[in-house]
Amino acid sequence: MTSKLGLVMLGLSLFLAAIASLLGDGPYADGLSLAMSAALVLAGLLQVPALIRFAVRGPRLPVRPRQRSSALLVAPNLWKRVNLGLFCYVVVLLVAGRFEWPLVILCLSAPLLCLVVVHQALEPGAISMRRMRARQLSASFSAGVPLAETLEQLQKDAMAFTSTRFRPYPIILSWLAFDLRCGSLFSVAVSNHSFFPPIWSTMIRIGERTNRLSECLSTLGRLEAQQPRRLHLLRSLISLPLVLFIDWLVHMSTARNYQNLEVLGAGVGQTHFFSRLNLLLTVAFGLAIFSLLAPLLKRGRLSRRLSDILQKLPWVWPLTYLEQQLLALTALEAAARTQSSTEEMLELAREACTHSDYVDVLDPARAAGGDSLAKILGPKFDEEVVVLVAYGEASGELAESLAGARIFLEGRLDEAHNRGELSFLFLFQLMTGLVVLCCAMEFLYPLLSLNVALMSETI
Amino acid sequence: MAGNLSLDLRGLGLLLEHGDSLAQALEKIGSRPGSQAWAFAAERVRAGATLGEAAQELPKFLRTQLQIGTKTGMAATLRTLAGLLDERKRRARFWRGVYFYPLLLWFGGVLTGAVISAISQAEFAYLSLAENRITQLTMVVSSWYLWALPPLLLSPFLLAIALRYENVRVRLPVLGFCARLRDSASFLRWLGLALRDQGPLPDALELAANGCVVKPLRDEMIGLAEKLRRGSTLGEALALVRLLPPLASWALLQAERAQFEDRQLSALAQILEQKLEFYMAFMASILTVGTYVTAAGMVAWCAFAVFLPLFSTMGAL
Repeated sequence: MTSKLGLVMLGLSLFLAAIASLLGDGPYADGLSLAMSAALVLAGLLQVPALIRFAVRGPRLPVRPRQRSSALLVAPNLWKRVNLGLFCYVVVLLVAGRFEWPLVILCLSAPLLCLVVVHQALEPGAISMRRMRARQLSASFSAGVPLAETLEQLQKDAMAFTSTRFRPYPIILSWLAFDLRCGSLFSVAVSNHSFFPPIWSTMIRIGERTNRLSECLSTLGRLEAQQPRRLHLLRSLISLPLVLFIDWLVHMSTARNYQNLEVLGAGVGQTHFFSRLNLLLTVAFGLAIFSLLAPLLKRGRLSRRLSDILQKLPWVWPLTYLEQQLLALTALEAAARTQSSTEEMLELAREACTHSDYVDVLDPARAAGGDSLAKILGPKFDEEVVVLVAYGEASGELAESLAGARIFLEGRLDEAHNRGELSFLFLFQLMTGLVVLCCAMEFLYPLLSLNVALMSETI
Repeated sequence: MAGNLSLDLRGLGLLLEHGDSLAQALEKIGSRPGSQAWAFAAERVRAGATLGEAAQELPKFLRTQLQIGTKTGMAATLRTLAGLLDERKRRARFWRGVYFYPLLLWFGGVLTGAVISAISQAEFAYLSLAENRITQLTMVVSSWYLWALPPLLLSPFLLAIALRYENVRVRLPVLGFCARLRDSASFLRWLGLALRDQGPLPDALELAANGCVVKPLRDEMIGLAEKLRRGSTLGEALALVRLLPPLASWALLQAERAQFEDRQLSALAQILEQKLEFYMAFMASILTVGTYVTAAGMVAWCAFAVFLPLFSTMGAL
C-alpha cells in the first residue's frame, strides 16, 4: 500500500516538475520546485517499508488459491515497480534540469540507478533459470523422485539463496508444486504461468502422453540453452548507461555553466555543433542497441508486426534466420523421438518459432495434404538441412537426421554469433569513443576559446 | 603426468577393461611421449604398491580418489575420475576467463582514479582555499580516495591468499558454496560406485568421502559414516552436518529411499551439477557487471574531479 502511494507521489512530483518547467523563472516556479522536491523525498520514504519487508522475507507468496486471479499469473515482481519508480525519478530530474539542485541529487542517486541496471544484468535471468529447472527436473524425474517433491525442494533452495530470493522464481515453483499436489497435470500447471513460453506446455504434454517426460524436459533445457547469447552481449554493454549518463550530465552542466560565455561569444558555435552531434550519436546508439536486443528480450511481448520488422533488420536477420531454424529443428527432433505424427511435429515447431515467416511455413495442413517434411521446410530452411531431412524421411531415421541437422545449425549459429559479437563490440567501442569525444569537445571548446581570448588580451 | 591426465586415465581404464594387468597398462601408457611418469608407477606397482600409492607424481586429492578404485573396481573409478578431471579443467578455464579481464579493468580503473585524484589535489588546491564549495568537496573525496587506494589495490591479493586456506575458502559466501556443491556432486557419484559391491552404507560413505577435494567436507562425511555406525539414521546424521548444501542432503535422503541405486545417484548428482553451473554463471555475472560498474565509476570520478572545479570556476567567472 505504502509503495503504491509512493508511486503516486512520484507521479505528482513529475506533474509539478512539468508545470514548474513551463512557468520558467519566478516565485511560482520556485514554490512548485520546492513542492516537487518534497514530493520526491516523500515518495522515496514511502518505498522504505516495502523494501525492508522485501529484503527480510523475499517476495510475498499468495497462499490461498482464490488469490490467484489472472493478474497474479505473472509473478509479482517488485523490481518492475522499482524500475518504474526510478524511471519517473529520472524523468522528474530531466524535466527539472534547469534548477540548481538536480546536479547534486543526480550525483547522489547514481548508485541507485546503477543498482537497477546491475540487477537486471545479473544471472539468473529468466532464460537461464528455465534452462536449469528443465535440466534439474529431467534429472530428478529420471531418478524417480516425485515432481511435486522436487519442486518443493527447489523452491526452498531458491528461497535460501540471495541470487534467487529476490526474484519471482520461488513463487512460481511453489505454485507449480501446489498445482501438482492438487492433482493437476504438469503440462496444465505450466501453461498457467506466463513465465513459461507455450512450447513448454506443448513439449511436456507430449512427454506425458508418450511417457518420455524426462527426454522432453531435457530437450527443453537444450532449447533454452540456445537463447542467452545476446544477453551476454547486453552484459558487456553494462557501462553504456553510465557513459550516457555522464555524457548527459556534462552536457547539462555545460549548458548551465557556459551561459555567461555565450555573451562573450567564446566557442559557442562549436559547442552547439558538438552538442547536437552528441545528441544524434546517443539516439543512434540507443536505437541500434534496442533493435539488437528487443527481438530477444521482448519475445512474445512485442506486437507480431513490430517483432517481424525488428528481426528483419540486416544486422539482426542473419542470427534470427539461424535461430528460428534451430528452434524449429529442436522441436521437430523432440517430437520425432516421441513417435509423433508429422502434423504434431509441425504444430510443435510452430509454437517454438517466433517469426511469422517460419510460423507460416510450418503449416500442419500441408502435412495433412500429403506433403513431405522436406518439401514443407524447403522454402525457408538451409539447403543442407532440407537434404538431411529428406534423407531421414527416405531411410526412416528421421530423428537421427534431425539431430544431425541441429548440430550442423548449432555450429553455424555459434559462428554467426562470434562474428556478430566481434563486429558489434567494435562498433560499440567506436561509438562510445565518438560520444566521449563529442562530450569532451563540447566542454573544451569554450575553455580553449576563452583561453585564446585572454592570452591575446594579455599580449 | 603433466600432459593430458584425463586422457591418460581414460586410456588406462580402457586397457584394464580390455584385460591388461595394471602394471602392463601403466607401461603402455608410460611409453607415450610426455607420459613417462606412468612407467615409473608401473615399477612401483610391480613391487606391490596400489595405484594410489604408486602414482606419486599425481596431486594428493587424485591419489586419495584412486584409493577408492582398489575396492570398487579400477576401470570404473578411472573413467569417473577422468570425467571429473575434464569438468575441473573446464571450470578452471572458465574462472580464468572470468577473472582476467575484470582484474585488468579493476587495476587500470583504480590506478587511473588515483592519478586523477592526485592531479586534482595538486592543481585545484588554490580553488579549494577560495571558499569554492564544489572544489572543497572534490578535494575531500580525492583525499579519501588516496587513503583508500592501498586496500583497493590489495583486495584481490588478499582474496587470493584467503582462497589458499581450505577452512576459509569453504566458508566464503559464494566461492565456498561452489566448492562444497562441486564436492557434494562428486561425492554422490563416488557413492554410487562405492555401493556397487552391496557393502554396508557407512563403509561406502567413508570410501566416497575420499572423493571430496575440500578437507573439511571430507572430514564431515567421515563423521557422518561414524554416526551411522553408532546407529543413527541417515536423516538424523545429516541434520548435524553443517557444510553439506541443503540440496545435497535432500538428494542423499532421496537416494536412501531408492536403496542408493547407482543410476539414481548419478541423476541426483546432475541436479547438484546444474546448480553449480548456475552459481558459476551468477558469480561470473557479478564479477563482470561489478567490474564494469566500478570501471565506469572510476571514469565518472575522473571526469568529476576535473570537471566540477572547472565548471564552478567558470560559473563564478
